[in-house]
Amino acid sequence: MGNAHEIVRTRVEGGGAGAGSDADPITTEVIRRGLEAAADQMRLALRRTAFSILIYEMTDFAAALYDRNVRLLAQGQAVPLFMGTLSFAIEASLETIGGEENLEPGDVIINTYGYEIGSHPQDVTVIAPGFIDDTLVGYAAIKAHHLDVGAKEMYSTDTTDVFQEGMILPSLKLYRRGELQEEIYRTALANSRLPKLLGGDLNAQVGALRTGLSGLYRVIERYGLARFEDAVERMFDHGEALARQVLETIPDGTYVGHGAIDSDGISDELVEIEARLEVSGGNVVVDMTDTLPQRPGSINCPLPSTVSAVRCAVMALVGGSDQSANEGYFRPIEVRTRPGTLYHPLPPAPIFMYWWGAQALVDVIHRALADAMPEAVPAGNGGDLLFVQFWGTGEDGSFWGDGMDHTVGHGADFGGDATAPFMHIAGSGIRNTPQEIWEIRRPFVVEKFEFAPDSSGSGRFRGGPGIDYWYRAVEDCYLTLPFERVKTAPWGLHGGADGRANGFRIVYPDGSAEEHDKVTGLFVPKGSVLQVRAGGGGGYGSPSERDPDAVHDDVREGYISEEAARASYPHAFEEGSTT
Amino acid sequence: MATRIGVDVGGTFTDLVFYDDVSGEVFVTKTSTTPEAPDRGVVTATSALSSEQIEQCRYFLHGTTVGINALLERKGAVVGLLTTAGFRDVLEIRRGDRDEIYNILWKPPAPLVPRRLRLAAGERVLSDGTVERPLEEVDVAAAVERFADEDVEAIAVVFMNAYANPVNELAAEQALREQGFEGDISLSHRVSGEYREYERSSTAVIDAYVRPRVSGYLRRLEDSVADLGFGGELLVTRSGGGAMTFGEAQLRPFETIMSGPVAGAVGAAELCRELGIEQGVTADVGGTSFDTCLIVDGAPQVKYEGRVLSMPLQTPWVDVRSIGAGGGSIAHVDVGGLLRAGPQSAGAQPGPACYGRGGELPTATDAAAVLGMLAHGELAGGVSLDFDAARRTLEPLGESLELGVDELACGILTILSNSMAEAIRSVTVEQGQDPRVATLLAFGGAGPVFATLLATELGMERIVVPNYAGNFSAWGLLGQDVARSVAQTSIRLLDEAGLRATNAILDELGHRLQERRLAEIDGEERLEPALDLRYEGQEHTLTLTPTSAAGTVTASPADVERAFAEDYERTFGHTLDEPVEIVAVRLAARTPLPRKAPERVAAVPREATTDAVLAHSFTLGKRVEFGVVSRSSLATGAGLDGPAIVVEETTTTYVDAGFRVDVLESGALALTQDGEA
Repeated sequence: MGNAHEIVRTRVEGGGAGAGSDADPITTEVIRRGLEAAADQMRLALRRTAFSILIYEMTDFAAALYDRNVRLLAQGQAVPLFMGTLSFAIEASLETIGGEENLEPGDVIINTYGYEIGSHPQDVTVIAPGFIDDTLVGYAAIKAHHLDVGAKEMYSTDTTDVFQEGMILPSLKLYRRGELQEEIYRTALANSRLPKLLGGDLNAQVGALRTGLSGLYRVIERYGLARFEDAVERMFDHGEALARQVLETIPDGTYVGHGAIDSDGISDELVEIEARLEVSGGNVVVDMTDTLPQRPGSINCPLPSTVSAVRCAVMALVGGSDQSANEGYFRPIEVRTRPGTLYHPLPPAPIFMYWWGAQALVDVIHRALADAMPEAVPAGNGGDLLFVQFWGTGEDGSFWGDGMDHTVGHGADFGGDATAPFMHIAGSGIRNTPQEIWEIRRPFVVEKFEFAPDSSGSGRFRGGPGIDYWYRAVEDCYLTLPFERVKTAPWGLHGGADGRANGFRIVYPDGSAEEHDKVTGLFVPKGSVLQVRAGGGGGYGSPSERDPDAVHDDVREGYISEEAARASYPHAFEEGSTT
Repeated sequence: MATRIGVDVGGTFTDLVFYDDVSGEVFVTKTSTTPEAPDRGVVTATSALSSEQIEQCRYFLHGTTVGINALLERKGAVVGLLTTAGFRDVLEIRRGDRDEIYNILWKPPAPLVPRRLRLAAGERVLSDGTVERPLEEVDVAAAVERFADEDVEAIAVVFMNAYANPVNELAAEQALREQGFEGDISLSHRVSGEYREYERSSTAVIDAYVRPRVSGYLRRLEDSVADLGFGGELLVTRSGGGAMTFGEAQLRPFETIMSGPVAGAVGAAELCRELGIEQGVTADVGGTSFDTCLIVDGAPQVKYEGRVLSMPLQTPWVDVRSIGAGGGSIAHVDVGGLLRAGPQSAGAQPGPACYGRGGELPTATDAAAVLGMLAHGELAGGVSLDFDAARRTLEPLGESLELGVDELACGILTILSNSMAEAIRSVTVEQGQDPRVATLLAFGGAGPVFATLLATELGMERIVVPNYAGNFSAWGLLGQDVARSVAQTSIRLLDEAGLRATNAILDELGHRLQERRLAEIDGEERLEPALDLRYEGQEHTLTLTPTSAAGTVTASPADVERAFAEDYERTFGHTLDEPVEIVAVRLAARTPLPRKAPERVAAVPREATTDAVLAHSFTLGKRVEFGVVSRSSLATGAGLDGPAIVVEETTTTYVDAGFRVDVLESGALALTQDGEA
């Protein structure tokens, strides 16, 4: 790629077979569960006190506890794409303020600098060090998506540098020894179009940090710091063993996954991406060094989010029903990047749509492993959260802004058909907004919220159907769309067919219509109908292997039309094919 | 005089408690649950009473799992769902979340109504209640035809914004009848007056789905109990606490889904009222699960959304948290080398190894037996624990961890009691309550075994082990109120005008409750309004009970706002300088049954070995001598110091060193930490 930068290898230290502490397995289990419970309390406290729908309903945040060496102890169950992401923000913040010796009990650091927190400045990150008797024992940290921190628009797909993307607060102390620093707080609110929301959500974040720290103190004080630290080492070894147990089932070898991002928001060019996985004895290297140079548009994914996307992809395969991950889970994983590229951009390259870069990486890693882990990797899905950001001015002159995600059809897998739609695994845990709440909150009437027949990929097992969401605007407003997987359809696996791609159409009051994928500040005149087409999942296995009875069931239930069924599954319509 | 019978149907046993209000006599019996027709077990248990006893009963109080079992076993009605055009798939689309957040292969159970039976009708009501499009009756006619072809037994109607204006749902009901549909109809606005279309759909569909089975069961039971001579009122426990008449339960069967599990919490709440306990936390430990519930000022915490098998229900729901930790919890070493206990359980069959019924996996009960915590192991019905079998199953596990049997057994119980303690912390801390000042209410077969471990872990100073601790859920049924409730989403500012409008809604809700009143219950009916409140702009609410009279809020907006701020501060540790909004209005009508006189527990002498045992003390970290006493030998006012083990028919109370036991007037045991350990 002609880049002069050296390759950067990111992995967490420690571990290896037989390494670590000999803390007893009982104390370790008790401490592990205690830390999970404390992280979960942080998550609940934030959700229940937040003002923004992005936090309380869509759970677009990460809340975690770290030890004094900034190793992940436990993370509350919220957005998986943020898995293990906060360590980067803590480390960068410590460096900025001159190290841990400049921390005092009661301090809270606020950081919105994208290259340190790994995502756009809307993901306001707060960090509180925990002290017991003036000894630093760990950190609580929360990153949460705020509706507005003063970018050129509330939400944009066309930024060209980080300065257009929102207010940068570079590791400032929002609280010093428990005292709110009014100047910083006022500055932050003054830069937001929705200052009340920003203030409310910041308070909720700080409150949840306190909840997390008191949980951490309780666990430590129960056993004393020395025993706690010893047990934490064993807990990490245990997490590593759980992850390795699954990763060791992958045959050694090199696996390559290809995919594409529709566009970077500036040009219409397809952005091809490739993930190269080297697997050896349960160690996984994800090599992104050959990726494209950083783009003029904002899909560049800062290193912390590249690493957490890899962790998210791996957790989706090894996590199963486990409550929470810790630092140990990440030990088998190494991420290789080259500075100046799409997955390791350098400032001031724009990063506003980093999520879409990261989300695509999760799917590409899974795609790379599809042949090696046929029972674990499903076919392709709608590949996006189909987020829509709206804003407008109400009849009383007040400014409003609100956003919503949409579920997409998922891919069939080894075990059978895909059924209900979900949020993309990167945003697993996010829930869609009830239409009745949306109609009460905002000037829309929902016209349709229904499966789209003939939208799933056919196969031995078929993909989940796509969904049509239609909204009629009853007042003028604006919107920004960062839609992905509009040009590239959700892929089938092992002979299965692709599902329907995502899409968006606006039908104006005069009946004219336009299609969009990424657009910023589109004016929506009153009476327009917005039609969001959520994609269908890909099929798994050849359609010719599908049980004819299942084909006829799908026709009867209306998931597919008879015409489409005859085209995709001719064998099911041969005489004597059904029971 | 209000003599009564309580029958609680559990997974393994059907428990009956008879209470004679005149003599104070209590009779307890237990039979095997008959899962295929639970009413048979209930009748068998009831037949243990004399016809004289049955005839003098005024109330028959029942906790049933028929509704939840219909859902678990997927054996309910063939339901047709009629929706607003454009919203046919709300039930299947759900909300997009996964129960296992990191599991990319997780799938929800199939919807209760398949897509071909979800049909749409042209109609639309807007969020402010305006009718944008009246019902297209021709669509209803087409749906009825289709439903008839598919042998649909019950129809749920869920229209958008029906909570704001039910006119189109009512028109649909009429049209369905006119088209000749004769089965049950569940209208979403009758089931729930709250917004969120998926949650309301799920509730209405569950109502239609379980109705034939629950109604049929209640009718059969009513007849059978009448045949035995019972002539009083039959009542069944609601998911939200309180009991409803069998008649109303047949019309609102979705309210009985959690009927079984809440009985213990309801009984514990009554115990708190009797003993003047302001804050209590239950520790109901059975073979498989640990259930805990916070009780404040004599009332269990109630939330307004429940969940069964990933399906939400918009209905009051006693907030009982359940984790997979109980006497049958199986211990194992996971692939990462840590000791784990539960959630798998040996259940009733084969049960713990020490029960000698073929169990070969080490359980919590085996650990407790080996440590001497169950004393001589004499159980009801002359069964004795096999201590050698317990030791044999623990040994190999201990060897794999390089732990001795005692060390391993302590570890198993420590891990389980810590999981239980975390669950107790969640239910208390989330409500802003400090677990240390609460009283632990220990019952269920294994609750009193774990009680002092939990109290030590949580720093709780006081434990109460009630009478009939092993059958406490059935006992809990006896002291319930008769209750009905209703709610309505209606968002407005909390000010004078807002409260006036709220009172108008309460008036309307009061009428709706009157219409649902099917039986005269003696006693004065109290109307209790409650408001869901939040700061303007938030989504989540806190439910508050404002000062009221005759179902009307009499508190001023400032009073309500102050109470909300206090509640918010206690729950979240801070308050905000924002206006407060009313989101939903709730009204409950409660009629307390005549209070029971404090029961007098007859001292039934029982042959029990009371030689002291050398058992493990967790507070001392070693084996010491524990005195063994029979509970029936303890007179009111008696006291003894731990370490001690109190044995009775259906449970064992392990009193660690550092705790003292006092027998309260009612016969309940109070355990206190004396701080000397």
